[in-house]
Amino acid sequence: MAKNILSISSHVVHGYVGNRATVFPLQYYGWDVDAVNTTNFSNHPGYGTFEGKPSTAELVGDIFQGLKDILDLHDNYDMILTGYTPGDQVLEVIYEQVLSIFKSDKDNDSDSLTSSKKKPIWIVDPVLGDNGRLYVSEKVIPVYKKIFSSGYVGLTSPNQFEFEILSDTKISDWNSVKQGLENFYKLYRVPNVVISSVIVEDKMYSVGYSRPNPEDKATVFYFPIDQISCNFNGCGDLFTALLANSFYENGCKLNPVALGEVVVKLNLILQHSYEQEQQVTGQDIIKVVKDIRIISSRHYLLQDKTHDPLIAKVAYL
Amino acid sequence: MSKSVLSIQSHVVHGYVGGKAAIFPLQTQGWEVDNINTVNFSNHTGYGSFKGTSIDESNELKPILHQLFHGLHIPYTAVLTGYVPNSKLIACIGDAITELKSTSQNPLLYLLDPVMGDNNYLYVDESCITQYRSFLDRHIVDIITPNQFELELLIDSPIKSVADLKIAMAKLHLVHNIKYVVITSLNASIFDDQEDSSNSNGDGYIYCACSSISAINHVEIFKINIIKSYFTGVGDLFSALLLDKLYTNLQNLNDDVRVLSRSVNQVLTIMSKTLKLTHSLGIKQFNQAQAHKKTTPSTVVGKINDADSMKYFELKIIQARPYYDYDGPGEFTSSLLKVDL
Repeated sequence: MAKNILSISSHVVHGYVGNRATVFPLQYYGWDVDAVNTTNFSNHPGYGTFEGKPSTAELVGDIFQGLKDILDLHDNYDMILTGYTPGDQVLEVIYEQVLSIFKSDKDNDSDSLTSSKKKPIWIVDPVLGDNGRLYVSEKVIPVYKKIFSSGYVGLTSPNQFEFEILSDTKISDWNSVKQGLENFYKLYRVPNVVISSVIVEDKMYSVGYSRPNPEDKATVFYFPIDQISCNFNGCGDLFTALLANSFYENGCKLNPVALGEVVVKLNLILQHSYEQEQQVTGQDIIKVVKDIRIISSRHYLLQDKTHDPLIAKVAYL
Repeated sequence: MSKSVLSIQSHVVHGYVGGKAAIFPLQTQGWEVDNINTVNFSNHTGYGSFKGTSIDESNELKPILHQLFHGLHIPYTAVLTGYVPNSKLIACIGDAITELKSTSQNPLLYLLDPVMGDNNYLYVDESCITQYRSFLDRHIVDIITPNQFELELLIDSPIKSVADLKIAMAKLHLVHNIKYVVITSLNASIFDDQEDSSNSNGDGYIYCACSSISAINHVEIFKINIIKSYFTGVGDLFSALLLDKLYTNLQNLNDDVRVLSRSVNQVLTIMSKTLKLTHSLGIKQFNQAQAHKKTTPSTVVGKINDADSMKYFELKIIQARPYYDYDGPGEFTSSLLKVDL
């Protein structure tokens, strides 16, 4: 049946970051994706130069108004995904608009869906930066904190740097990972958290945290990631898109199968991108892949990886 | 080798017109699609209301094109342009493609869909007409896909007969040096004298015509059943699919006439399947929504300026994914235009 998602992130003409990294994979999975663009850039800044402009808060607000004029947004969307937003004013508008969608829920009658499957599912990728460097205005941080405290976020997917800022915890070992996750829950009560990648004892892992209801005990699990020592632009955006789909298809439950499948597929796509980059540049060692090869690795998207050997390697904290 | 296309057309957040109708089908066929959004709207204008803005020429479009061509040096295989809302933007795109074509080392295939209107209704600024006419004088267009109304605007003359049609298409080839001409929809009344008199009720049909510069006398026509509903984005999907099929067939066949005929037939076949799917899923979704509202289901068709029916008849671009790689000969039969000039 039709699945509808509102995806709010950046637009670049060339390359695969932001909405350009999330829209196609979701469409390939059968989602009707309504894409609200927070930027209109020629390419991502990783190229060194770029042209174009970020969307103004006024434009983003107008676009939401235009949608509300023709659709019942609460009824229409199964998921809402928010990603790269460079400035606090635009993020503030997104916060207000998404909140108004949840508050417009008219049919709270008994025959509507129970609270276990709240609709729409709001997935927030709090894009701040990576490897110790912010690439948005630091003014967005308090807005993200407000978003997480709203009670409407169903799943979030920060990287280690973003998670450390938002949970106010420095990660150094498994103990601090656990502590950070507890802090994060205490602060925001977000039921599902995935730290897309953390480095513990020089090894890279993807960590999942699930606590569907406050009375439940939290489940924390993690997978080792095959580390490719190379920077892939847009990798986090692609990760969140794959996770959004796998989470939804798993009945909106975050468990080792839902996360493991994403880790496996992402790795295949990055590996393929790395090899393509080697071919194009004629170089053996690649430090940066500016354009993930999402189109030419599309066949990986539809492969069933729910029984991949990696999933058996899950460990619990 | 990877194939890449620069697609310049509209963006709508909800619904499937412009880039939303063109990009995904191309991506499923392995195209790297870079897209410049000429407008950024909440939805297409058929709903009766919309919000958003057009791209700015001097601050956005021009520097972005410059960056792609001169900063990043992207080696595009093809360029596809569709809805561009004003003449300033059209001129800017014309300048950039002219320059790109003269400097590009690979042959660059340019498909122009001169989106201006349909059924005698103009939906761009009037200044776009003269701008597109001078666009053609640059001799940069390889493929053109106007509908009948757009063809009439381009050559500044009405198409009332098959002779008019043939002359118009020949002009595009000979005067403007366009390799492939495809007229995507033509009123059935033009073909009255081509039909068997026993079956002259042309109401339920439109026609599509195509010819290539290597054989301008060989104009093929395809007869197409109309589904009675208002669909938007059909022309945008058509152009995208045509670019893909034409490019693919050019790799495998060397007879221009056969390449074009096969490509158009394949595109029409995919379009027909997609429209049937859109129609049947639309009715199903409408009835489900009505049942939910506990009112009696009734028959429905997409109506312009009616948000309530329009939303059910957005092209089912996502659900039609299995159709796009169609590689058969096509399910339509064509005939040759019988007219002596």
